[in-house]
Amino acid sequence: MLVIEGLSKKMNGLDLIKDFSLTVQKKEIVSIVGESGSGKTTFIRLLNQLDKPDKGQIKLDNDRLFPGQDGHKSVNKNIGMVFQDFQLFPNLTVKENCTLSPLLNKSIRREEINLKADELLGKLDILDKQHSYPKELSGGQKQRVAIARALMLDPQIICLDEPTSALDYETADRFGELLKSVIKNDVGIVMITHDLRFAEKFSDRIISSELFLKPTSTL
Amino acid sequence: MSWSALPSIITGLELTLKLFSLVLVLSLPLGLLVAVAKVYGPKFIQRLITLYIYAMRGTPLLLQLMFVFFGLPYVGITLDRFPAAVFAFVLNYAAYFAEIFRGGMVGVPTGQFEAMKVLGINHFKGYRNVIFPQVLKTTLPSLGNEILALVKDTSLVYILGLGEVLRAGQIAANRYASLIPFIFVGILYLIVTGIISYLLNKIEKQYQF
Repeated sequence: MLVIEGLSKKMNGLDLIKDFSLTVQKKEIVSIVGESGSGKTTFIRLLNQLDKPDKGQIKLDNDRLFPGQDGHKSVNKNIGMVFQDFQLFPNLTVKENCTLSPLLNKSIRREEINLKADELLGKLDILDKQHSYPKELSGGQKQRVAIARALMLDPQIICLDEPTSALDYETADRFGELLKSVIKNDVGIVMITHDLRFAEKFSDRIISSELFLKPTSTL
Repeated sequence: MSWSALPSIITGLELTLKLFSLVLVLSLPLGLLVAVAKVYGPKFIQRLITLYIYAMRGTPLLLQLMFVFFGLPYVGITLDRFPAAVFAFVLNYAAYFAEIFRGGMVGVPTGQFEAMKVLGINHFKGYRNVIFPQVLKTTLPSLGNEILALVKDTSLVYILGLGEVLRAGQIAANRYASLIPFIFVGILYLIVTGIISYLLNKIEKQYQF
């Protein structure tokens, strides 16, 4: 379970997020919706420690990720991220994109890493593209690779930044179904989007980014 | 032209190729290091490097060669001809290569570094596996131009009295009062640059991601 308590972040002297608290359960999809510039992207960047919170706590189960001495390592391992523009590594094939981090970090044996990548790419219906480079993929395919890459690290939470911004309705719905199957592996999803239709259809909870500035009891 | 001029021209070519290879092998990694230091180093290092690059690019290579070989002895540093040539060339070309690499580095989107971070890939390993191949891809055409320029620039070492291929050609032309040695030297340059261009194209093709 992800627990965020009293999270605050100022940008250019203005409060963007103030005393915001939220919990996300395993197998739960939480969507954060709101206008552009309302701090949605900043929020998930704080979860990944791509930006540093001014105040607050981020915990996964009972492990404190922020603030913490080795906060960074635990965040990387336990909170995955799918960027809006995916940020796949263009010089690596689909499979190499998925296996690079586990191979470099030697978390498990090479054969197991390869098997795991095959399995995930198969589940995400993109195994036939394992030797392709990102530039040879469609937007939807890149997104699935980005999810597979994040899942390779067995995260407890995956953050998605505007996942449907490049997808048509039909592809977005297929992607929503995919998310439903992803959370079956005990993963929680925090997704920011301005696609209300998608959020309503596939989220367990929808939270407005307006609440970033209205201190409330934990959501 | 008497064919007896050929051996001296070939010996000149050997020196040209030796100088070219040595300068290339030393200046490329040095240029990369300088670029990394300029992009990621502390402010004062960045300023020093800016000054170094300005000096190298803002003055003629010929002057730099003369400075190292004829000038430095006045302050007690004496180098033989060939090491002096290599030293001046490496300093000069590393500056040009550094600017090319720096351009490639700042062109890599910030998102790539952020993706590395969230995937727990450390900076060094990430640079080797993800960033550097992208830098190389974007900079290969410019590096190629510079490498070809280096082949031709090696002729400047005639000023230090080194018998490279052009100097050998000129001596032969004077001795035999003939245009042929110059044509022959021109053909040799074309063969060398042709081979290098072919190899560079091959390398570029490997970076078609």
